[in-house]
Amino acid sequence: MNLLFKEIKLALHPSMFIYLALSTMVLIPAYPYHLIFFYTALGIFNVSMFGRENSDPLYSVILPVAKRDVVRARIQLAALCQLAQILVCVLLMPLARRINPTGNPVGLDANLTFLGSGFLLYTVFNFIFFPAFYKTAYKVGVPFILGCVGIAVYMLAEEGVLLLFPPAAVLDGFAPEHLPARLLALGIGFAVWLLGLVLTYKRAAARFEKVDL
Amino acid sequence: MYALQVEGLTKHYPGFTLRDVSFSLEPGYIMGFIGRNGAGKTTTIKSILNIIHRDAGHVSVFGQDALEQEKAVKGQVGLVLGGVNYYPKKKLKTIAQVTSRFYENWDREAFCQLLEQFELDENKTVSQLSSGMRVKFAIALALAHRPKLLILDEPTSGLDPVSRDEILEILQRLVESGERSILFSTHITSDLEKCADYITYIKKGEIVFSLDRETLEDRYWVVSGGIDALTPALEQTFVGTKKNRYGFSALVERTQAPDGFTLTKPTYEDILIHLEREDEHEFAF
Repeated sequence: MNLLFKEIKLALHPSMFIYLALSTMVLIPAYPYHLIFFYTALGIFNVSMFGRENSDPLYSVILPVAKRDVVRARIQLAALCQLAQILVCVLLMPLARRINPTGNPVGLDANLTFLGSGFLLYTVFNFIFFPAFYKTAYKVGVPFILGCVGIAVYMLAEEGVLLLFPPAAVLDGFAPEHLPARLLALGIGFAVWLLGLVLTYKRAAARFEKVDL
Repeated sequence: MYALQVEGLTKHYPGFTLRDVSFSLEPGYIMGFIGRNGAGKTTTIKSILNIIHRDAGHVSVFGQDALEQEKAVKGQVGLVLGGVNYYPKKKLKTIAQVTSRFYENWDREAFCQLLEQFELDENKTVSQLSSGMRVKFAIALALAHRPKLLILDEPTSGLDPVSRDEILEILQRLVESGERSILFSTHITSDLEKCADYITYIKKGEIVFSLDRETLEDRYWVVSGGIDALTPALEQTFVGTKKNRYGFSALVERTQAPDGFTLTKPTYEDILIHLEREDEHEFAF
């Protein structure tokens, strides 16, 4: 918990709060809402770059912690930001539905499937970005670009499934009879995200162990 | 039980290898770690605490393995890697607040006393401090949790003579109880004349010697004399001979001290300079 406190007190870049506020984009009637999750990724990139510029990795490993704990705290901070982004979306979703009762014409509606999909998108980004960043704990640009490519591929794949696989249409919209399917999508997304965090940590921490600071 | 035991520490870089570094330090003593720039002092210190990933070797602090019990070991160590260079736009009190949470035995009172002694204002940011003041802040942070082993990398570089003396005094007071130890890397060897009990000398990534100060001081003379008296056979027995038009000076082992020359007790700086000069090439201008 001390490291997480350090992450919040020292490493968290204020721009993350602006990105959290961008969850309000679910109120736009026609918009690819997944881009909201891209902004969380941008916030994580900023935190990593800000930390690097402030010699955060060196400060952290001097503290009485195992080297891999430094990675765990950063991933925990990212997970907290991702949860917060989702939570703000959840709070705004009832209003979004009132503003736009006919649904989103350019992608998923702001429903439970959308949230589950957000968790999957985060999983893809985390699994690419963190192990690539902690290979050096210095080079942050290329890992972010690779993470963004992962996000883009995921978004395209999801749109492809919805277009080319008609039964998947039950996941979109707000029809009460398809609520179990949407709940399942959210549950799967959340479970995959949790599992992905553990795997991401293991992979990134193993790489950081070998880094010379 | 040793306060610090380093065995076979090895780290390969392209163009530099830290090779089989071994030394040990008992509780209650100060060890000076000397060597010229790039000799491997910082690499050794960082490898001790897993900040640099070592290729081989074993390090223990008060009997605990530094890799397997990394967290516990770091909790007993106060580490100063030069001055504080992290989070330059944060206030000292913010950094201290965050750092203090990691140590159960953080002594707020002692920390405030150190800040007062060093004339550090908690409300300043790190970037507002001079390089010397940043070193003092790093020392205050490292001492506030009462570490059993203090590892300092070039703590006195950038400090004025008064501050250096002040810090050396603090270090000497720390080991008085016989429970704490200090490993102190520096190239300002005069600091070590004042406080070190042991000297470990590293050259090109390898330990040349690790000796107590009496043994080291009894090992060499500085020999000097006229240039005409310096024969090739004599020069063979000398270490790092410095010559000019009028005379020479060199280091010589006391067992091989020649008659008829001026012999003086070497300072640590003399020893370092002559030993480093031993295989140096002459520059042609």
